[in-house]
Amino acid sequence: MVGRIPMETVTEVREDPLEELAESNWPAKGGYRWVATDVRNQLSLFRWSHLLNSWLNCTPVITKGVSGGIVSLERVSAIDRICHGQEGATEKFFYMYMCHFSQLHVQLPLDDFTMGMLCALNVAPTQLHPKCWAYMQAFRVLCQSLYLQPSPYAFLYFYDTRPRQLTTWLCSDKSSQHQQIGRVFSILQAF
Amino acid sequence: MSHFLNADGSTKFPFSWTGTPSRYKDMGTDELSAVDKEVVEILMKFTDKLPTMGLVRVYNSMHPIIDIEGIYLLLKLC
Repeated sequence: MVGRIPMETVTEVREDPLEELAESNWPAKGGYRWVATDVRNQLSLFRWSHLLNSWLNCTPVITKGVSGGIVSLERVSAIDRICHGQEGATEKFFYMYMCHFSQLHVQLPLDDFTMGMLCALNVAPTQLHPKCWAYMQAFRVLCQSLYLQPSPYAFLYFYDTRPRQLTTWLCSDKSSQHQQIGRVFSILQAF
Repeated sequence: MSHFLNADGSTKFPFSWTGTPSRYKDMGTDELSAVDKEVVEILMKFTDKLPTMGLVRVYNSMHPIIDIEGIYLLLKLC
């Protein structure tokens, strides 16, 4: 089987796994007991640059016409987790899920509605469950199709949020008062 | 101009997980600004007329499976 792997592929993957091995001996970052265990146990697939690069080749991340230099996408080290903060980082960073770009049609830079939602909910992009991102995208499309300006508080009129005591992904549910419009958003998010 | 930072260097949204996500429940129209209230009212008028049961059936057959395990990306500001 090994003989069938093309030579260049072998060269390409050789560097990162060594780094990865060294990283796994680094002490795990502490101070995150306030985050649920299943969140802290999530490991990124993008610990190797070649995986990230091949994925980037086929997925649009930046809006057309915007300079690609607004962010750089980098590999995630073996001890980094989505809930980790900016401690010790020389440059500011944030995490996003692959599905934001590949399935939910989110592109960078984020629009005012999306950033306003994150502020109103006081959550980082990965802290909000992708299901809620799908609702937000559906809401945005619905508003835009009716020539309305999507706004965070108009969205939150239809959706409730229920933060848990031990921090985990924040979900939004249809407000009990507005089942009808909630159904419409659920439908729209499927397209 | 930065797409992610305010003029004072603060971030335009939380970059890291917070221990204090906000709770919203049964918001009343009196809590909305005049602009937001108008958006809500138009959306309500629009959605009340949609034949949702048929759409629900379409939705159920097309619901995307969103997998979030192990697929986060690291983005650094340039």
